[in-house]
Amino acid sequence: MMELRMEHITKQYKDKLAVDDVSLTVTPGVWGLLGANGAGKTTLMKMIAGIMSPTSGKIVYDGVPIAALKGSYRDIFGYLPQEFGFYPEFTVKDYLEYVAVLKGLTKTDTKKKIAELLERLSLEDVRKKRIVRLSGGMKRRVGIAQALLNEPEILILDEPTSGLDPGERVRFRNLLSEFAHDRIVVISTHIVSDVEYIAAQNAVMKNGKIIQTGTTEELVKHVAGKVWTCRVPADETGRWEKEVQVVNLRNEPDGTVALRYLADEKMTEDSKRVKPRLEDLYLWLFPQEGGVR
Amino acid sequence: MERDMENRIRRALAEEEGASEQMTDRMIFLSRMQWNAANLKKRIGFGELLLSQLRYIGWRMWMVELILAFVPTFLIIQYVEWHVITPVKAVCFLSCLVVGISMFWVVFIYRSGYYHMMEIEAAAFFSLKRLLLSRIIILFAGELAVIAGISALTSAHTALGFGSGMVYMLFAFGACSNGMLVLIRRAGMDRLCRYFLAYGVLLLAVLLLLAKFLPQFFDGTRQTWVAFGSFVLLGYCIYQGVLLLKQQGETVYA
Repeated sequence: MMELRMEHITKQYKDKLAVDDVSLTVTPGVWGLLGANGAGKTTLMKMIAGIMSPTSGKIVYDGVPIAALKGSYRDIFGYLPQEFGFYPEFTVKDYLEYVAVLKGLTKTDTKKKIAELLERLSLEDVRKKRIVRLSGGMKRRVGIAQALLNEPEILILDEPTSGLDPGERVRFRNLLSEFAHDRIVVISTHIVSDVEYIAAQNAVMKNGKIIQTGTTEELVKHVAGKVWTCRVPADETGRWEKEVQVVNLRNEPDGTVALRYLADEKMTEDSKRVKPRLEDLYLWLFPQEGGVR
Repeated sequence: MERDMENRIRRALAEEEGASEQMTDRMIFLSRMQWNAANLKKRIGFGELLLSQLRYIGWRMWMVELILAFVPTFLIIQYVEWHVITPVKAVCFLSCLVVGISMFWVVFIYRSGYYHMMEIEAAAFFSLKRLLLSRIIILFAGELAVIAGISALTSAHTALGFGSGMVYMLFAFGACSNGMLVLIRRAGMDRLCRYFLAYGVLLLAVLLLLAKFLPQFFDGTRQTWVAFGSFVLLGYCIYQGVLLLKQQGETVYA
């Protein structure tokens, strides 16, 4: 089975250790790389993409270091960077043709593949429109299309769903699930719902290190028994936010507020223990990303 | 490589006397490399990449080169009394013009970075270095045509011979291009613009200092040596281009 293995990867910038001794083996399926902003996800993605060299350690694809694979690695690789770029004069079709040339596709393959992707990503109507005039979601879809042009075996997507509306997110998730059947897809994100439903495996990154790996079910076990719901008067929510990590607040018609919170012990008698979700684990690991703890 | 194939190699070597574990691993590693190389999909060659760049960026480069080269030359021919400009000044001006035009290439690299295209370009099948090489070849082709054009123009309007103009401009062109190619090969892409700008400014300063303190260099008396130097520089330019073409594994830009 195909595998991408990271062996003790470290990236040191002048005064910052962005990635700290990361070892991870990625196999076919969707992998979610979760972490707060600044956790080192993008740096790791760039190293996997081969556009940034690790300070130490190596990345091995199917038994061969990617540095030795050279062009043949890039040939099986699709990459959507966090900052999706395009030249302002490009239309959607121009852009995809340009990237197809860089990926070395023949004219026949380019034509066939572009037609297929425009249809799959619902971009046919805007193919002659300049990208600069498209909405954020459509731009993102163009970015995804360019990553898929060469039918990659490894697809690396850095924050792929930023700017997509809920409907587009669902379509995107379905597309990836379908695509990842026998391929490696790594999605780096801090949007938990992006990976919760489709990722077969997750890795959680914090301060440059991988601190947890496993399936969603395995990961959420870390917060099992720590997720509670209760109802409190609306004027008490401020106090709750100071005392516990509040995951969710919902105003109820009777004037109370339904709280979902994280705590080792329940805070009120009527608090009910609930089944944890990946989002709960995320907020447990990255409290600064959610409410006040 | 198929796991099945790996197991078959392992089993076959296990039966061989004297085949160590290390040798087996090495054999499997080499087989994987070969398998990966043999399973490359059908891809276009560098020539097609080069032609495609004409459509996307080449015509823009050539337009800019034309404007940058001919507008100042034309203005000087039209409005400056040529007896005021000595041959030394004329040749120095043309050499500086060539360096100035080459430096404009920086804008096209900067553009890649400015519009966040460099990461996508670097992660594609053709390495970023080969993409830059294709652009540099387009720039050079345009520049050589421009050099010939300016030489013809100045020889028609001044006492400066076509050959003399060509020789000095080719020398400046060779010095500048080799610097660009060395930097593409050696410097990180994130620093390329800065380094090349610095190199271009240094080269301009050297040309101006030569005109001031060593005017013999430009007055035609050492033309044979300059021609020889141009020839060597252009040859080295081609050699560096070939080296870059072979650097297909260079993906890393930062």
